[in-house]
Amino acid sequence: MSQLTRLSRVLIDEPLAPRPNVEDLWTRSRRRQQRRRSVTAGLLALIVIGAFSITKIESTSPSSPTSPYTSTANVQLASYYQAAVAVPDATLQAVGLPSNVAIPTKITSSVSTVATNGVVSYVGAEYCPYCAIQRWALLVALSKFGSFTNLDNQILSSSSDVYPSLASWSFIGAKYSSTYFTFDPTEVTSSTPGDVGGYQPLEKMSAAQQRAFSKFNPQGGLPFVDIGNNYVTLGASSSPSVLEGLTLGEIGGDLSSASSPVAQAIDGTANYLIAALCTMVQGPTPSVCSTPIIRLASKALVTGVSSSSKSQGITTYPTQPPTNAPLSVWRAWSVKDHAFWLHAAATFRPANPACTVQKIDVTPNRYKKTTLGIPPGVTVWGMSLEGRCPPGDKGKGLIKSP
Amino acid sequence: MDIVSGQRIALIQKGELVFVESFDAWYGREHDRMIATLVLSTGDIELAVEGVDEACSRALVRWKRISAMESPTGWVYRVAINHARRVARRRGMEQRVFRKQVPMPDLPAPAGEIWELVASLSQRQRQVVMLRHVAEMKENEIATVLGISRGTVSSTLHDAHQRLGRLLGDEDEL
Repeated sequence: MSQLTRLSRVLIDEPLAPRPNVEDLWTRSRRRQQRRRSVTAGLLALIVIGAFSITKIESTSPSSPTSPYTSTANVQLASYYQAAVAVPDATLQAVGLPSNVAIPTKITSSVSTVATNGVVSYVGAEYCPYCAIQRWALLVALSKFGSFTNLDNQILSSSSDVYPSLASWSFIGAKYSSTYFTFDPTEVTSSTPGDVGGYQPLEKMSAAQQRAFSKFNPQGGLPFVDIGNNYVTLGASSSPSVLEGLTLGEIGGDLSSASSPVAQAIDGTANYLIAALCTMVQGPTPSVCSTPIIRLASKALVTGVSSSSKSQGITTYPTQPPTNAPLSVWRAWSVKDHAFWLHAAATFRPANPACTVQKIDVTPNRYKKTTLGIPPGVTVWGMSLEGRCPPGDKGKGLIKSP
Repeated sequence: MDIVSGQRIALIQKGELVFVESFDAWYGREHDRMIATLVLSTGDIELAVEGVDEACSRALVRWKRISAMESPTGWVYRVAINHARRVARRRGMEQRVFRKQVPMPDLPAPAGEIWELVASLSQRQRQVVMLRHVAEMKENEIATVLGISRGTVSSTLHDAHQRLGRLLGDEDEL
């Protein structure tokens, strides 16, 4: 070891400056992003003022009619949000009802609560990768009924969870206005690890939200979406894998490309959410509720079966690749595995019609060593089921006989 | 050698690269060494802390990509050095505009003693020496961090060793 190395060792053992904790680094990063946004907003404002001045001088043509929800309020939103709030009805029609998207669950009268009547409620967390994709679908769907402002809180989902570090944003600080219903979003934790494990807390659920959350979602999974006490979604309705490696701009851009995996997952989920939201509307319904795809989705909400899912052959379990196949092949298999279980959950009916399904979850698992030919690191999916059967049935009537 | 080689990019794109170290683990191990390296390169604790904290916060939000690099620490050093340079330039400009004379604060021992020893080296020599002996980086890594050739690193290091050897009166010690 050189003399310099020896001397400097003291500076490493007894540091010259305290080490900021990781939360401080996140704060610093957020401040940097805010500074950049301020500069960008300033430049945009200058450009808009300039463009407005030119328009005032040069243009006398009458303005074209616009949707009540795509005008002034959305000017505040970043481009990827604008892409989400302006997904055309034609794109939603083209996306249809993909078989790998879960259908929201109808709340049966036996478990109904009046806590969230007239309210669309979302409970999620910034660390949660499933919330990352469900937020997009909510944004697409809710924008058909109202407008968002102050959506400017960019985040990354947890780096240590399944589907790590997905680019996303949170509902913190966002405002939503609609003539049809209110939207009550709650992000319960950040994606910054807490001092005593878990993640740092952010917002608390309202009392009504807490009652609905406990009643419809006793296992406490995230995200939880309660559509006016009529329908709920537990967990993501589609696989977050489609967001892996994409920036917010790329996700926003893909939303209007009906064949992209992002649009299939997000817009497909949004179709069901829109259909569920249409059931909350009192009086004249917005035009989107009358489109063919939303009518079809409304039928699927009632029957619990998507018409398109029957034809896409997802009912067969995907063939497992050989153990030594490349990880990319296993990942593709994992997506199909997820789709299979989502479809199985969406179409599940108890063998005994007298039984009531109260909760179905499609849950991930990763083995630490090769198990059943599946190598470590591959996400494997399964389905958990809870329900209630008449006395004497002992729950067996929930499960179909082979 | 680049910080991310083409082969690694291909592996990341194919999804075949598994990340093995968390940000927390890397940060806990490297932070104090980076501070020491930058303090002894710049002679200014405030500048060093600003550079390292900024670089670490940037690394944190990009950790998925940076952890896949051949030298995540090298990337952070490069960002830290560049940021410290920008801050120093801005500070110098402010001092000229407002005609302020801000004396450089003395470094506490033993950093002050080392600084007295290396202060006579050129800035490039100091950076190379500190990255080699305090950050304990290899010559090719230093070349990547500073954006110079490995040959330049070798010759700079050789010249700095000779000068420090003369100052210490024992060249072999370095």
